[in-house]
Amino acid sequence: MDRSISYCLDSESQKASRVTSEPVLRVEGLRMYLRTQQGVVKAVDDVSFDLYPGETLGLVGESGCGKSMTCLSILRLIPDRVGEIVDGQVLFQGTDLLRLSESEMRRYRGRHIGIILQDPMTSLNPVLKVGEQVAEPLRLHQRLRGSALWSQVVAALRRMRIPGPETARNSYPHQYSGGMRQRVGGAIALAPTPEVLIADEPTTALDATIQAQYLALLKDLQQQSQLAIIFVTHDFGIVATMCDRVAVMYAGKLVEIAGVRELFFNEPWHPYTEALLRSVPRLDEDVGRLFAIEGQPPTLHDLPAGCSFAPRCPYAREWCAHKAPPVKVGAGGRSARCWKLFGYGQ
Amino acid sequence: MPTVESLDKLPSMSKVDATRSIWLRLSRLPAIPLLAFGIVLGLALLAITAPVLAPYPPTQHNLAERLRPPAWVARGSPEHLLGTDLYGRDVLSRVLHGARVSLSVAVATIIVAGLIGGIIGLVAGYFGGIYDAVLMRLVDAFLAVPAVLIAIVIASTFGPSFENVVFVISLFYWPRYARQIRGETLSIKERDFVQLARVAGCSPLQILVTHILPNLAPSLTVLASLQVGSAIVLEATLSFLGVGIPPPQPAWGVMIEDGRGMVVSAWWISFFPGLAIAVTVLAFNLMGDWVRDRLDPKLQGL
Repeated sequence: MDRSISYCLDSESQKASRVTSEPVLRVEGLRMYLRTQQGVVKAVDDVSFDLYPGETLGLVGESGCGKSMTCLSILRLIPDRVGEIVDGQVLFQGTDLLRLSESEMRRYRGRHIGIILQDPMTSLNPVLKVGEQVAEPLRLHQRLRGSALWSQVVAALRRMRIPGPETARNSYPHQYSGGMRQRVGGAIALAPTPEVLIADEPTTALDATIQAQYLALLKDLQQQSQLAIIFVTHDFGIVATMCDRVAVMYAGKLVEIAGVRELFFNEPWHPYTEALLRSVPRLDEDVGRLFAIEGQPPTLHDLPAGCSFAPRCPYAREWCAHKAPPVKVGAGGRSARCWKLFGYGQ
Repeated sequence: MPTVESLDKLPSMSKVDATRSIWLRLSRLPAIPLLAFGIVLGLALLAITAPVLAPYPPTQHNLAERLRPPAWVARGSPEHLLGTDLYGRDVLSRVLHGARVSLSVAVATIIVAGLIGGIIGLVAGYFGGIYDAVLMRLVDAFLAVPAVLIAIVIASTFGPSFENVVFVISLFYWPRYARQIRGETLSIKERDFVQLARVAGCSPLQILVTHILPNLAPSLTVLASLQVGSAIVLEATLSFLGVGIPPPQPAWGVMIEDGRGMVVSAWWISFFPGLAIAVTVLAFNLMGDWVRDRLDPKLQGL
């Protein structure tokens, strides 16, 4: 590999620019409820965060905690029959996407907010040529045609370092390896030069070396274009490598947002974040048994009245189970939802 | 990664290689599908060239030569290889022209039924909800109605004709397409690339046409090739009953009916069109089976 993965803890210049610039995406009190057989489920419950140009926000949490649902809600990709965004705002450069009509929304999706999905095997259409699939968003969003279109397609593929970008015009997805397909997915997402990229576990299906290459590539492209990335993952190694800030989700709620440095070097505010970090095996410690959080995440249609994490929380007091905790906001946009930070309501 | 750039220069498969590989694949076909393909291809050729190939016009009467048996039977004449019928019409010429009728009915039915069933299946599968419920109940209703009975009603109301036969057969075949297409649309629309097509700015129509429809091509092909046979049988049935292709025209079903009263004395009048139906349907079914084995995603990996 021609470059080592640069740890982003040194990106002080980006942090500085963040303070002065406006957020490119601001999610405010987003609530998305799913309709299920058992009743209404609060899959995304009062989620708020800001995303600044050039920054990577990690979105972490256990499976089913609402990470992907948050991403799909931002793009309004939840089918009406499945669920509904009931409240909140998604402000893209000041425009509330939730108030747009479907045809207006179509101009933002992909053009300004791109998305890369987890599985490179299903995210490409098996019967369409690769070049055609990269061309599609350019054709629909930028109304490019003919040679202008194709030169953009080749440029997009080249940016993702796909070998032989010219031949992509005549090849099908099955002729590509998993890693290459995921790069094609990246090329499709980034071809219309969006300002925000949602990466929904893009490297989960890739093996370790390909994963490292892919992350380095994303980081590179981000530095060139001030792209803001929402990076969904449950791998804290990736969080340390890629992200500037981390948002931790539990049972549909954001429980903590903090800078990566604060989280790893100072202590996390929320007991769930603390437990998550403790569950990551470490090479420099010899332990007989790996740490696991006691109990199961709650089923979303049967949430506790108070804090959702209270039944599994080692710090929980009786109070926690009865009343939902408020959000404590600290310096630098740091925040967490826990009664412990409020002295248990005393 | 020093070798990435050099991948550009890999030779790609040229046109010559591509044509050669098609022949290679054909020559490796197992005997039965090869035979079936041969028969289907031959039939299509015969049907197309029937006006040139047939020794007589299919409806030309010649009472002097009536009820002549096939050439190799006693009293047979080399002028009429497969004999003549009650009016002295040449059976060979009529069988050849009958292939035209049968194949064109089959093709027209597949197009009409495939189009109607395809559109309804796509809409029901993709939009779901109330569309799905209403359209699929309609499909159930159509599948519950006896085809031949309705065909007799339609034919006796509007009169037998080529268009009516195609209409009647399509009326009973579109629900099968609709069901199949709906089921597959349901599973394809959940795949990630459909979601990504929405992100790329596709409207529902564009998603259906450019993303979902091409993925249905294999199962459409399978369904179509398996239905040719039964469409031909149904056409022959209707023609035999006198509610299909109207009599002077040389449809196989009509010819069997013509010879029905004389099966003992002049067996050749109904035997050869019957044989033609059997061979044609068998060939199409064998071909359809083979196509299904190759293309059906459900059988893949077994």
